[in-house]
Amino acid sequence: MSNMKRVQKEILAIEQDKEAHIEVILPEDGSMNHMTAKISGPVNTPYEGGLFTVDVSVPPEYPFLPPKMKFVSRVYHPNISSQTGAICLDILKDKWTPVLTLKSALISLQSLLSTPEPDDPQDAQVAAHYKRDKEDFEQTAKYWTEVYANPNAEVLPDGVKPEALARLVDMGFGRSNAINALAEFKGDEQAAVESLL
Amino acid sequence: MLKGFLRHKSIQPLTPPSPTLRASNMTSQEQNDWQPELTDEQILAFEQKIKDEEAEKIPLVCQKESIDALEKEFQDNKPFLEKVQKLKETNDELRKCRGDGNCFFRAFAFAWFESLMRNPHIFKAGVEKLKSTTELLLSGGFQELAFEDFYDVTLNQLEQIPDSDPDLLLVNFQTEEISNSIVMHLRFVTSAYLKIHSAEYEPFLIVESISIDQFCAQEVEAFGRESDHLQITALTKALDVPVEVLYLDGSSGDHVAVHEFWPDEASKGSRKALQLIYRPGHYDILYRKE
Repeated sequence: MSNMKRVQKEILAIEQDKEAHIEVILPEDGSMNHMTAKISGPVNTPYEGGLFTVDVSVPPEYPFLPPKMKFVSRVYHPNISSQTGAICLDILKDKWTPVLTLKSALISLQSLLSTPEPDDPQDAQVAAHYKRDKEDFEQTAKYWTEVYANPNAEVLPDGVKPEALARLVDMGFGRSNAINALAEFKGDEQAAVESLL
Repeated sequence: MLKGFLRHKSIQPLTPPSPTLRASNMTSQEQNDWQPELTDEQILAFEQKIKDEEAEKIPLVCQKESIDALEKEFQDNKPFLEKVQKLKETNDELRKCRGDGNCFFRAFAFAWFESLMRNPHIFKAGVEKLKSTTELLLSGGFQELAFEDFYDVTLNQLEQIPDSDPDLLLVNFQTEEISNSIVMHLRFVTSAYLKIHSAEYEPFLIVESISIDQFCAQEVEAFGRESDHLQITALTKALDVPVEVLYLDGSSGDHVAVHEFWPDEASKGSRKALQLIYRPGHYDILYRKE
């Protein structure tokens, strides 16, 4: 791939910039056309304190075509699909130019988190929620940040989903008991609840 | 969402939204408002497909051909035809470029490289001018990271000229990776020149009420965006390469309007300008009768 040189330099530039709070993790096979990025949620937003995982793939036509990015961490935001993590951001689409870089695109994702645009939504339901009751929206967004983008979250055993765990904890069960129960019943929430009762 | 023309088309949603954490406090009206539509990715893919199909019709830069081709093209269009016939008094050949929105930059680059090949005495000055563009780009606020690969390809192609030949030059300009890198470098050069001289050029943007920076991002730096007077003026000045654009249009009479772009008025007439022919929405290269 002819753009490898540029991508390599771009990744190096991200690694050298400690101020941006962006991290890029390359796959172990050494390929550079697909990577994982971690971006911190901006302060004074419901995403503050979260560390969001973004899937980045670099098409062969890069930088003539934009990199493809989507959130792996679930995010509650009008311009990000709550189901698929797809992002509605002009510079990742028709406003892309080769002047932009992976770093500037990731920084734009951070600023998208700070400035939702509910009138140009990716997720119509979330946007409607935002427009109807912003305070309630922010509570949900904050809750999702804690559950899905918590940098301090322990690595959960296979089959234990953070949202299921959060619901069990909300019901009043102890966290470690809930994890064990969910692990034992391979994520089956109902069975886990019955065993805990 | 993209503002594309396909936006209203409906297709099956990927997955219906399921009730999610604390998001279930949504009215049934909102649930019903959720309309499936094409995803942005699908729209982009579709637009790319149209471009690709268009692209396959002709090479990025074509072989030279007789100006009679224009006569054929406009045989049913009297105002254009009359102008083409008039043009035949001074010009005999043209070289078409692909209509992919980059035609001005590609036509300019090819015609410039070709002129340096034919006129060895101006070759060295051309190389020096191109080398000076790195400084221009840095002053224009561009990151080296973003422009150096395009610059390297462009300089490498230019430096090959003394050992090259017209056929090889054409092959290289038909190779996407090389050709598009040169186009991109010239776009960056144009943009940097406009930004550095913004005070001079911003008044031209009053109608659109956008800043030079916005104009550059939307119209100059964006690959595949068409060019107009401002881009041509800036590029000819930045590279010190005079250009004449001959405009074919639907006006009456056989007069072909010639727009001259001279880097400086003083040098006017002392050297030959590259000639491009413009018809609404497209530039090709034009050749004078020898």
